[in-house]
Parts: sequence; structure tokens; C-alpha cells
Amino acid sequence: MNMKHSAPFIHTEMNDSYISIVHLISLIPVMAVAVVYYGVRAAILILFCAGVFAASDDICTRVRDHRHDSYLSSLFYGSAFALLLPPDTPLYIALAGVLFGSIVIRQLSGGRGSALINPAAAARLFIRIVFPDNECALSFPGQSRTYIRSLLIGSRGIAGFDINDYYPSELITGRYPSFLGTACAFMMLAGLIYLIAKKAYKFYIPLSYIAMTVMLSLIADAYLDTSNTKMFLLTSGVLFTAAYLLSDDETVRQYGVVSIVQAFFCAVLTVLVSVKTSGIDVIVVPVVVTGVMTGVFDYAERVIRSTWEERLHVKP
Amino acid sequence: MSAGRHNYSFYKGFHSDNALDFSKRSSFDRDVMLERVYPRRLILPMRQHYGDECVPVVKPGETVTIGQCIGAPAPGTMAVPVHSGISGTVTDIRPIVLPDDTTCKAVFIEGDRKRTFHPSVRPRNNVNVSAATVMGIIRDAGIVGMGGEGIPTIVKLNRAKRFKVKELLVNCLQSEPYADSDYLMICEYADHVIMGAVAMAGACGVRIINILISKDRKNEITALRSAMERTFSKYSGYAFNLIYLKPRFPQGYYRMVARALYGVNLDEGEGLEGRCRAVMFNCSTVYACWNAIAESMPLCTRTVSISTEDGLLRNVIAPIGTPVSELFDTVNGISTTSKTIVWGNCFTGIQIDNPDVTPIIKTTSGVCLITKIQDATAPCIGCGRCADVCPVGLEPDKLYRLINEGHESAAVKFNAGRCINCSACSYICPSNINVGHAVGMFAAAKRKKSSFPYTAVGDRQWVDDISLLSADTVKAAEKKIQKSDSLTLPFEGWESE
Repeated sequence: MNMKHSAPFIHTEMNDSYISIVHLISLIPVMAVAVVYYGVRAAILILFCAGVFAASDDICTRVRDHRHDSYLSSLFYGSAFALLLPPDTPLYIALAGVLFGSIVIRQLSGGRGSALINPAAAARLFIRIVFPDNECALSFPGQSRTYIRSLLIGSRGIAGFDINDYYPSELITGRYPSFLGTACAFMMLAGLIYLIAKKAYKFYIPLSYIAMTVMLSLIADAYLDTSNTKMFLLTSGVLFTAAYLLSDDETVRQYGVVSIVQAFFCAVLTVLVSVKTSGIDVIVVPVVVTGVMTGVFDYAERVIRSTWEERLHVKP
Repeated sequence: MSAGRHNYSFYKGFHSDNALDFSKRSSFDRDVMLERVYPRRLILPMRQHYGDECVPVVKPGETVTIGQCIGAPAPGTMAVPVHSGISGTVTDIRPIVLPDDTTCKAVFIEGDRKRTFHPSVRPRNNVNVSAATVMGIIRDAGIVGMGGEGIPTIVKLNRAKRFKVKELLVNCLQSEPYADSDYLMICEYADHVIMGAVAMAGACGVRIINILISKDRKNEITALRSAMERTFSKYSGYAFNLIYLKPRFPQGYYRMVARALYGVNLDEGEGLEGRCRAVMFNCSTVYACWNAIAESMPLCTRTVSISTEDGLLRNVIAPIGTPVSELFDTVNGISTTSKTIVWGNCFTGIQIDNPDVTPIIKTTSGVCLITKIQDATAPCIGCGRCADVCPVGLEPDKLYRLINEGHESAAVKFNAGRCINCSACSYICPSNINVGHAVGMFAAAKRKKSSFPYTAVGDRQWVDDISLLSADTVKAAEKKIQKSDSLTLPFEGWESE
């Protein structure tokens, strides 16, 4: 009897490694800006977080004797987490965040593909809660690029800083104190366009998210007398969320109606959170809650679709 | 003849161009189109279709000719005759196991290289034939659905008559990567396809002929349009339509066609005939029917795509029963060393280890050579791409998990039984997990055999005696001709007669 293997015998070129590499490459523009603006400490933070995240994931998968996962997705999460940190974050805080994201969020839930919420966003939220003082570890871009002492002892942060003092041109290029990778709108857009061009990300997800965020933000401006929408979009990390957090295959549904619903939901949360608070909460809280809600959206879609399909069963 | 209707499609699947990205790394060599293969030997299984095995009517040592019946249906069985595609000597008759686990007797024929035709293989003289005659010819020619399922064509025709279908659909929607045998056949023999469709429509009393084709197939559309224009002038009683569908995989599957054209989701056990009042035949099947009607040539050859991962593609006309190894021998530059040989196309085929004893059968439209089988590279990440392409709207990733974890009842609840095993989900999976195989096997195990639409009572009525391609059968059918039953075949040059 002939020995058989099952079809298909070809696979798409857009495999796991390809998608992870594309995601990593899409981060390069914001990483480059971070290094240009904040110097050596930014480079060390990014490399440290990415390396420790990958090493932690690797050790955990070996301990669990699971199939060895790709390092590439771990590198992406580590890098994305680093880019959400203030530039003067000490390494021990970064280490705590990385280990939380890798071990607690990712590996304890079953490893690659099993995490409910984005490990990078969850790790950043963890840092926000456990080390609230670190949120002030911001510095002016372009100054003291060779300063690395903050990696050991952190910093007290800058004083006398008001985001409203900056011109739109400075905001769009990221020349204002911000987190490592959430400042420069140009570079985040470049990364987003690259992801879409390489077919690793569907355009309608970021489009839905940004469009809904803009619309709700305008409404909030009109009725709640909050900040203006332009300022909000350029400084709140909305583009970072759209490009790098909602594009996460593992925790956000990437296809179909559910993906758009998720984007809308995340946008609503983003604006709601922005009304109450600012800073990193606006980026990570909506993403974490959206991840938790993915199962609910999936279930709702299934129910709606089965109802719709029953209606299709109409005789011609 | 109406102008082409555009852009029908079901709502999922994937654009077949995506699938062909893989092959775009090297250009296909399409200069050599339809070569003829003359194998040294044939292995002719007695069961090559959906139905029962037929009985060998030759013995070892006996001489056979091209077109000669070597296997005939036993009374009361849903079998179709098998004919020899070469002339030579029967060397052996013994059971074989085909890659799809079909076990049946096979007739081994050693060719004599003389290419002697059976006396019954001759062009038809009279153009006025009855529907019953056409049905008899198709039955005796051993024609089965050549798109893959292998349902005996006569069974479908009978079913179409019983349901009084309104439309005959000619399926020219071959969308599997690396397979374009149907398209080349259409380019070469578009007239025959159209005339075959007219004959089959006349046989089952249909007046509307719809040709379904992907809208990106410009050459084939031109060929079909020209053929339709030529034929239309002679057959004002028939309405011809070219219907363009989006080039998606698996657009040609009958359920997808039902959804695309009629907006109907067919349930298990339902066919196009009952629900949509239409009957669909693959274009190669239609061509084979015309060959049988016009040339009295039974189904003993077919067009086969021979493709490799390196980008080499050949389409050959090979006698059915040709060993796969002999097919590869005919194509220069192909080496099977350390490669995976696939019996069938790369999405739905089966890997074989011994091409010397594995023949192509009536439903084999292609053979492939794959350099490396890609194994799973990562666990499922739950990205949902598989659900996005699933043509029947399943969530293969979730079903895969449920099945692997033993939650079979939950998998059934989530409609796992509706899987059509198209492998689109496995193809698109970024982790290279063979999701489709797991779900498809589960679905096949759960699906009741009786749910298949072509086992209904009444489909076996035609197999009441051993049928050969003989004058007696046709004569018996002619006695039942009624005037309204007759049709005039569109033979080339018939106007002068």
C-alpha cells in the first residue's frame, strides 16, 4: 500500500516567520527615531527588552517541553514593550515588565497563540501600576544622548513641561517629551503602511480604529470640552495602537467583521479613557480590555452568522 | 446568446492569484501545450469513480485495442464501463490499492505501439439522434465527472431529467494552483465543449446553457465566445450565457456555485438539481461526452497537468491508466529524485511513493512534484486567517482545537461536518498547520454516506444490464424514441448535409 501524506502540499509564503519579520521591520522607523532622540539608553532599553523577552519565552517553552516557538514574535513583543516605556526607565523596571509579559501573560496562558491579551500592553500596564513614579521618567528629545545612568537609577523626570506649548510640526515629528516609540507620527504611519503593503495587516482595522477615534474625539471636544482632536491624535499614541498593538495576530482577531468591531470597541475605550486620564493608560487600557473581550466578540459573531446563514437557506 | 454576466462569487475563499504567488518565483513554461502521451503499459482500475466496481471482460493474454471495453458494470450496480486507451495485450488482472484507498481489480495492459483502434471507434454519420441515444452513448462510454468527484455522468443526467432542471451549467472554473488542464482543453477544443453542452442539454431537456468561467481567463473566454457564436446560429432554441465568476478557490465546487449563482446554501445531501433546478458538468466531462457522441470514442484519455514546484508545467493528453512514472518520463527536464510525488493537484492530491504502480484515473486532472513538504512551524496563534478563507464559513482553528482535545460533540455543534476538505485553511495558515486535514477527516467520518445526493433511489435504474459500446444498446434505446425527444447534433459541416 502506498504511503500517503495529506494535502495541501504548498503553503502560503505569508507564514509565521514572514509575518513576525514584517512586524519587526515595521518597528524599525520608530526604534530609529527613539535612538536618534534619546541616544544610547534607548538602544540599550530596546535591545534589553527584546532580548530578555525572547530568552524568557525560550526558557519557558523548553521547561514546558512544548514545540519550540519562533523567537521573532517574542522579539516583537519585547521591542513594542520597550517603545512604550519612558526614555529614562531603569533596567530593573523594564526587566520586571518583560518577565510579567512573557511569563505571566504569555507562557502561563499556554505560550504562543494562547495569550488573551497583548503581552506588551499588559506588561506596560503592569509597570504603570506597580511603578507609578516611573511614568515621570520622560526627557526632552535630542538632549543627553550618551546619558546612560538612568538605566540603573532612573530619573526624576522633567519639570515645567506642557504639551500645549509645542507646535503641530514638533508634535508630528515627535520632538516633545514622550515615550520612546509613541512620539513621531510620521514613523508610526510609515510602519503602518509597511505592514499593510506587506499584507501582514488588513487596512480596515487601523482605518476603523482611527476613524472612530477621530469621530468620538470630535464629539468629546464638542460636548465635554476636552482637548482638541488634533492634539489628541498626535500625542496620545493612537497611531501606535493602530499600527502595532491592534496588528497583533495572537490577541486581536485580524479578519472579518469581528476585527472591525474590535477596532471600534477599542476606539470607544480609547476616547473614554482619554476623557478621564492621559498618558500610557490611553494606549494600553483599551488594548488590554479589547483582548479580554475577543472571546465575547467571537461568540456574538458566531450567533449572528448562524442566524444570517439560516436566512440564506431560502429556496429560489 | 446573451452577453457575459459578471462578478458572481461566494463571499469567502481566496483569490487564486494568492495561491499562484508561490509559483510566480519562476515563470511557467507554457509553450508546449497538449502533448500526447503514448505509454508502454496501462494499469486500468475497475473502479475509478463514485460508485461500484465493474467486472473485467478480458482475460490475460487477450489482445485489446483502443476504445475497447475491458470492464463492464455488473447488473444492478452503479458502475461504469472501463475502456482501453492503448492497443496491446492484457498481461495480468489483479487487485490493486489506489492512493485514495480504493481497492479494486485492475487490468494490466502491455502496449504494442501499433495504436490500433477498435472498430466501434468511428465518426458518427447521422446527425439526427434521440435524447435516449445520447444518454445511451454517454452511459456506454463510461463517462464520469472529471472535475474530481467522479459521479457517473449518466446518473447526473437522469437526475436532471427527474428534477426537470432548467439550466445546464458547464463548469470551467478550475482554480486550484498549478492546474490548468481544463483551460488548455477549452482553448484547444472550445467548439467541442459547446457542442457537447448542446447535446447534453438536449438529452436532459434543458434549453439554457450557462458556461461558468473565471473572469480573468481572457483567452478561454474568447475561445468560448467564438464557439458559442458559431453554434448559436444553428441552435436558436438554446440560450447560451457566459457567466463570469471571481477567480477564487474553490469556486468550482458545486456548493460554492450554488451560493454564487443562486444565493443558496446547499445542505448535506442536497444537489444543485433539486434546490437550484440546475445540473452542472465539468468542461472536460462535456468534452468527453462530445467525443463519445461524435467520434464514438469512449472515455479512455484525459488531459493531465504535470507540474513541479520549480515552475515547470506541461499539459498532456494521456490514456487513462497511464502510470504516473510514465507521465513524468514524457516531460524533459523533470527529475523525481528526492521529491514528493502528488497524485492529483497540490491542494487535494495524495502523496504516492511508487509512481510505477499508480495510474492516473478518470478523475485525475494533475500530478505534481513537490520539492519539500512544509511541516507545522508553530502552534496555532488564533489569527483567524483560516476562518477568513473557509468557503463554507467554518472556523477551522477552533474546530481543530476541539477535535484535538477530544470535544467531538462540540465540533459537530460548530458544523465541522460541513467541511468540504478544500485545504484552503491549511494553505493560508501562517503556522503551516494542516488544519483542513484534521477537520476534513473528522467531517468525513461523521458525514453519513447516504447524505450524498447521487445515491438516491432511481439513479441506478439505468444499470439494468451489462452495457458495452454496442449497437444493440443504442438500437434498444432508439425504439423508445418519441418525436419530441429527438435532437440534431451540431456536427461540424452539418449544414451541407
